[in-house]
Amino acid sequence: MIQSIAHVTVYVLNQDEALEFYRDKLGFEVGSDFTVDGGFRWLTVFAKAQPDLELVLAEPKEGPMFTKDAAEKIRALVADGAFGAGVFETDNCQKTYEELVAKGVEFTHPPTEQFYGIEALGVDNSGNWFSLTERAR
Amino acid sequence: MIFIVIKYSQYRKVCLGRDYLTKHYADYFDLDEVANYACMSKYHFCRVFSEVYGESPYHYISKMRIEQAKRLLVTSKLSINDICEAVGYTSVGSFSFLFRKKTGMSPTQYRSKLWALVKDPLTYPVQSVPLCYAHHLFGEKIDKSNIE
Repeated sequence: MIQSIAHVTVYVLNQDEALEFYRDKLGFEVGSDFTVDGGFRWLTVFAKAQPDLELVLAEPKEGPMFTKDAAEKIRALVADGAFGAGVFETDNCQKTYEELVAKGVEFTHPPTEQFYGIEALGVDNSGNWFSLTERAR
Repeated sequence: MIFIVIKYSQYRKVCLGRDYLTKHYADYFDLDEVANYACMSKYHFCRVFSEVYGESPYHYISKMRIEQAKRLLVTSKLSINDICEAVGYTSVGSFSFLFRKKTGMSPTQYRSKLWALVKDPLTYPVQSVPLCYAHHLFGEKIDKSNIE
């Protein structure tokens, strides 16, 4: 029986820059950050209160699995905002939104009331959209 | 099931305490100092920390130390003694005991095992990463010999 989700992939354009964004701006913590035999970087982050669910910040590069063309296509899709990093929950959407804006995080929609709570829509520094949601109580 | 409600203000304080522990994991662990930093009593800090993170502050520090030790064992040539000190233990015996308890092997065994798996020195073996990622991101071939 599947118990939980352990890793989720987020494609990013540059792992160094993505790490700065998720760690220093969004406040995520680094799960793993090491070089794997062969030269690839395994980089994961997690939300502080959820250490068992890690986002894998993966950079599509030409290599064993991606041709140059495929890597470029994925990168273009990421930059175009075709992918999402997911829904990030907060206890206070307005306050967190203001804090993140002050840190330079880009939002496409400010906090607005939805039937499920209050939600703002942001973009990471690769182009992935994400939702910042405060659940309705 | 009992649900314990934690105020957001308490959550923010305990986050501060955890950040402090993360930064100072290799220092002498003084619960009073950490709780003070988080502006909470030590009993309150411990209780809320455990409720939010599912482990005690002491267990969190131990885990940080062992994880950092694992990193140093693989990516550096520091001696076991030096690694023990670098991660905050004063006794190699205690460090080795806790390391074995967590990983099932001594620090030396852990280092030997991982180093034997790599071609590039001071890197992690591909086996450190979930196979699905090793295959899809790093091109590691999946061994189908065990699949019936």
